[in-house]
Amino acid sequence: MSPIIAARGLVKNYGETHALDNVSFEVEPGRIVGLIGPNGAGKTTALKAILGLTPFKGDMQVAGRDPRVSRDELMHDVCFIADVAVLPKWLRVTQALDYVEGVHPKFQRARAEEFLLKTDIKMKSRVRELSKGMVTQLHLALILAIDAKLLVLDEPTLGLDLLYRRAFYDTLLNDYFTDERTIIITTHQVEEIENLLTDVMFINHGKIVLNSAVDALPDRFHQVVVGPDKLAAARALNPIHEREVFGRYGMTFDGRPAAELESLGELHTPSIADLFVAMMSKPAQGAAT
Amino acid sequence: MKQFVTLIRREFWEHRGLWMAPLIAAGFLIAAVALSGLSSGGFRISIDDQHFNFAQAITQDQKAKLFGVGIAALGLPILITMVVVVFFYLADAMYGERKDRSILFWKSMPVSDSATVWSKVATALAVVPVYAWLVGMLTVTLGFLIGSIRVSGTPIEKFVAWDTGIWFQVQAIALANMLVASLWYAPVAGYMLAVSAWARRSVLMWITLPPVILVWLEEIIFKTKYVAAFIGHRLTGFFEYLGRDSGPAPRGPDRAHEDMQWLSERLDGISAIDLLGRIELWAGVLVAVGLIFVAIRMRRYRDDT
Repeated sequence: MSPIIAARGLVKNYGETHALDNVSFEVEPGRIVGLIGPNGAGKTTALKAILGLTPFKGDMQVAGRDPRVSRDELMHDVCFIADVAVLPKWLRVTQALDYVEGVHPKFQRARAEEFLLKTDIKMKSRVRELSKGMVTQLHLALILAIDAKLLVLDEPTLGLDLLYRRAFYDTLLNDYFTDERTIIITTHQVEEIENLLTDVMFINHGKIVLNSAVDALPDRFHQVVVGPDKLAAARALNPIHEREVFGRYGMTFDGRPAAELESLGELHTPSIADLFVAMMSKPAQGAAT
Repeated sequence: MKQFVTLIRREFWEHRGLWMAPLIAAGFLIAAVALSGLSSGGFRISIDDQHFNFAQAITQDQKAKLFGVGIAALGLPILITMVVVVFFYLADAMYGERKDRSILFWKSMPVSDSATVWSKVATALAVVPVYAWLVGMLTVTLGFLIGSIRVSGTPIEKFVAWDTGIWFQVQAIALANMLVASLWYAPVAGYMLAVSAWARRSVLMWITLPPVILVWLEEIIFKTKYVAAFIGHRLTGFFEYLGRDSGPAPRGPDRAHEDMQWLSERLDGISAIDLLGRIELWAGVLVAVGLIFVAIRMRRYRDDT
């Protein structure tokens, strides 16, 4: 299958800051990709480029189109939730449905209404009368009813309580995601989405520092806790990160065969959150000393 | 088409003043006609003996024209209300959605920036004027009926008579004038949309500042006032044209008669349709189209969310 997103050599500068520094990547259909990076790493810029919301240099095809040329056509196949705050306060629930029905040929109103019935949202309410969680539910109801190929979520659950966050991702997986659909998510709450991702992309200082299927992570990354006696031997193997806890050292290795590390201690596969911390605080502390 | 109608509906949802304000103005007008001290003396004072005598001699034709002038004048407050509402609408039309960041929602829909901006242009220059015209039509008709019931049996009655032919004439002229005015003011609207799409804050300040500075600079540097005259002509030209051969109301010895004469003749000058023959009107439309494209590009590339 041809990729849903193919980006090559994306460059975007804000003054001296490189928001995108020669970024290339591809996303295949049927994946759930976590785009993860610290604040100001270029996540939102990358998403905006995908969505045709910002000009940039380089080549990009999203669902077969250049987002810079035809954002409006692209939006037939792409949905996005920027964050919880973007539905206008004056909008009524019925007006939201009327609007999307009026402008989006792939919107099935009945499906959105069906979803809304399961919530506490009243059809006559205005967005300003809804709680943050309900606004997200409303937005999700609109998105679920659109038969799109790509869904882009930029911090979709920011500021929501745990119940809403759980429900949000459960709905996404159960009622939305299929083999033909692709979801890209950015979030700070990595722990919460790491079980649903099929792929991770780490971005830092405008560069992609990791782009991997989640399945491939256990073969490539290992975590070992070593005692002081084996510290020197472990450091000789060039860990990408080390962390001292109660006199023992948690080391993360990239691309070292498991056989090579087993003598140091018990091997674990780092969680995505651990990996994020490890890779974002490179170069490894103490490794050079 | 369905999409464009939806876009225009959005403008009316977002800016409720667009449809509420003319209705409120109409309500005040009707209330004024229905409740004012018309028959209890307030109005009667202004009918002095001269006018009263003249009323006996007024011709049918003058009476009809007075009717026309009367209903046209009655509709004026609604027109003024609409102008004010549209002014504030244009200032907010491209700015409001950026301010509350809802532009990210609108842009997540398959709607081009061009369609969005043109829907705002159509709202300001066609939909709201036609709507205000309809509201005005109903209001002056209802107002006239209520008013004529209230003055029956008073001296004013002599001046008042329904005339269907004139009614149609005034309504047709009013509609035509609305659309001519839209074309005349299109560059002002385009300018406001462009500023509204560009400004990061204080849109009204940015709308007024550049012309004021230009006028000021010209006065300082060249000691001339061409820019001021040019802007002034664009802002008031339409109404100057409407009042082109009115002159002041006469103040002769036979005042009552001349008043009525002068007033009834106003009806002959209320059409602005001839403005369509002026090159300056079409030059303005051209400028407006250019400014609207600026607003479209601005909405497309401006990235401040």
